[in-house]
Amino acid sequence: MKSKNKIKAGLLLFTALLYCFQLTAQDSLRRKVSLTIRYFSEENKSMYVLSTAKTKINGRFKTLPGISMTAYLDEEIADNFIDSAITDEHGEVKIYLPLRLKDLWTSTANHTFIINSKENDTTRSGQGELTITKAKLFIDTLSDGTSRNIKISASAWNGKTWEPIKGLEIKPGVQRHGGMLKVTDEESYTTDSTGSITAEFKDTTLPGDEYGNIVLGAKVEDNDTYGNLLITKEAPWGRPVLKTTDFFDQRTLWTTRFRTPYWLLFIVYGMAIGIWGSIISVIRSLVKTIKLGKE
Amino acid sequence: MSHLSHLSDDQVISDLLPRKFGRLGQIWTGVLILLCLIGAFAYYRQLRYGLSVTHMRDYVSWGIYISNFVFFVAISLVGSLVTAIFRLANVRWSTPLTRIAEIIAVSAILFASLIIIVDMGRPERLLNLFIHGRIQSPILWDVIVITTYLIISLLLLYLPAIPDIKILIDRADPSLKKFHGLYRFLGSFWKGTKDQKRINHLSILRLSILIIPVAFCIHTVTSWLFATTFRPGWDSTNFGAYFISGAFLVGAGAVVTAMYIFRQTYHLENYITHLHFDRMAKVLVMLALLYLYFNINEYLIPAFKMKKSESAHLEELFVGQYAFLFWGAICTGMIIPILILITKKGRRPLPVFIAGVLVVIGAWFKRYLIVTPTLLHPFLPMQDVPSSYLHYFPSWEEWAIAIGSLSGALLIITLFVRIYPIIPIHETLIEKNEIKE
Repeated sequence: MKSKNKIKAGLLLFTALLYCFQLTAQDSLRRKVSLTIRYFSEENKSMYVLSTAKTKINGRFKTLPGISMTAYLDEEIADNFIDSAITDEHGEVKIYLPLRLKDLWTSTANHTFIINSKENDTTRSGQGELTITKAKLFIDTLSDGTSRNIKISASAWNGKTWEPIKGLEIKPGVQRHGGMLKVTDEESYTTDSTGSITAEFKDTTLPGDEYGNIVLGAKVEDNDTYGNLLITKEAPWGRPVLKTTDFFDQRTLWTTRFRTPYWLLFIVYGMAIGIWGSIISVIRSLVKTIKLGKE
Repeated sequence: MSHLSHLSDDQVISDLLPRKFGRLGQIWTGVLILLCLIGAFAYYRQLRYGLSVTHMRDYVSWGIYISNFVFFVAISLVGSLVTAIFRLANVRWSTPLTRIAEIIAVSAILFASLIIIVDMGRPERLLNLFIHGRIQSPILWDVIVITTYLIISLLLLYLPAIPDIKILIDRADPSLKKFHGLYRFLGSFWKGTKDQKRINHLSILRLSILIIPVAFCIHTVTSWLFATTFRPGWDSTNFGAYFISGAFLVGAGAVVTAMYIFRQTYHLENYITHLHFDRMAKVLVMLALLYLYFNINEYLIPAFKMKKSESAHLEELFVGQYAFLFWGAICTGMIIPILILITKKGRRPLPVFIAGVLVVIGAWFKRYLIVTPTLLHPFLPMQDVPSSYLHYFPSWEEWAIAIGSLSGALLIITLFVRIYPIIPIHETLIEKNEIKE
């Protein structure tokens, strides 16, 4: 009896060991995930984090599409849950801070974004954190008739008031489709003790909308403390560009069939009516000939 | 027609009535039907497996089908040449040739329309051309003008044939008995009254005038399908005139070929005489010289400039892989026929027939050379493409369909000749009796 129990215990132990070994083997085959997190604040009201999932393959980092990620603010508890999303083809997810976390967001100056990635068949679970200090940018325009200047101020929240940020690198410019166009002497400026910079806007030929409006902007890029900040403001400092009639709205040879040039319609339909009119007339004559034969 | 004055009306009618095929005719018809069936089977394969059964790929997307299409369109111009231009110019000797020209035109234009549908790959999408067609596109102009030309050609074939159909009804020839229902349907109303004759004559005259601009349009628009695209060999302002001159030549070549065959088969020596061959041969020489002139324009000037982007295409034609075909087409299609027909001996029936056959063969290969080498030499270099994209030689399905379509056109002419007189009986009688009086 005793030996039977020993055998049973041995088998149980062996099975348990085998299971543990299999789990370890599976885990060692899965790849480790590395998460990078960047914080963005646009127009001081739209905040989000951009997280990228990567893994090392043959000594090189490759992005991981299809990884499920969950984001929390400050603590991994249900109340602080921000959102969850799956990485796109570039291995990225963009997670916006929801309105329901407004009280938590305004309560302190510093916040930590915690992002967890879920394990799957090929990758292990991963975690990343990013701590930032809340900051704002303000933009204003100064014009005295002879020169035009862009004034940008930066402030950080200290828990009670907004304090000017000294020594912050800011890039002013004009927003175009491809990004920020440099329109000042320098590409970037550093804030003074008042947390401000002033840069002269020199280009007077820049095309704007039909009223000459252009979008001035300023940005802080990948700052260790404040992350990425962007502020814009519309100003009538551009050259008015009158909207021409849309290229495809014109009646041309290359547009859709509903935009055929009138001259072509006239020629084609004119010829068709003339020729087919004659053909129909000949057919009518034939009918007449048939009738004459039956009389 | 003075040479017919010794013949009685009955004799003329009896000579020109359609006849039962002999053994040779039956074999000929059987071979044509067989070739058509092989073509139909190849087309079934193309419908089932898609255009991948052809050897057309991304670069050569217009292969032998479009060459055939251009050939058919070209040959159809003969209808307007002989029927309309000669009729309006009061060229009386052309009377025996008018119906030959018209049936060639009708069968060619019919198969031009069909071969375009074959080239589409998905025939059920033809309707989209009308539903979503853009009037700015030369392809739609081509569809409109081909349809119009087909209708006018059919009318021009039918209206002058009405009095002949009446003769076929009246002459109870036993070999034609099975077609009497058809004859009655098409011509029983014809009584030959003054009013009927006047209306019919006016209608033919109107159609003769109408078909000339339409024929010019069809060939010009077909040339624009090429000339409106920016490619070596096609980027020409001269293409419309070049195509029309080539079409007149091949059409005339087809007529003299058909003239000889019908003359020999039906013993029509009294009706298609040496005079007809002599005059058609002179027309052929003139047209060959005209087409040669346009060819020199089309190739000499680009060769003189030898733009880098076009040099590969031109060198392939002049000294490269297409040189044999190119010079062969120029020689057989123009130079040799001119040399044959320029002498009086060369304008006898057999040499004219040989020259006509050479013109037609040369013309077919000329169309192939207009389409394929250009497509294989685009302005942008061909890089990182499968090797099958770099060359083109038609697959057996393409050959079978092309040959099937040519056979189909010949079959229509053959069957027409079995049912209707290939030489207008009524007009021949009128002209004979006018001379007699």
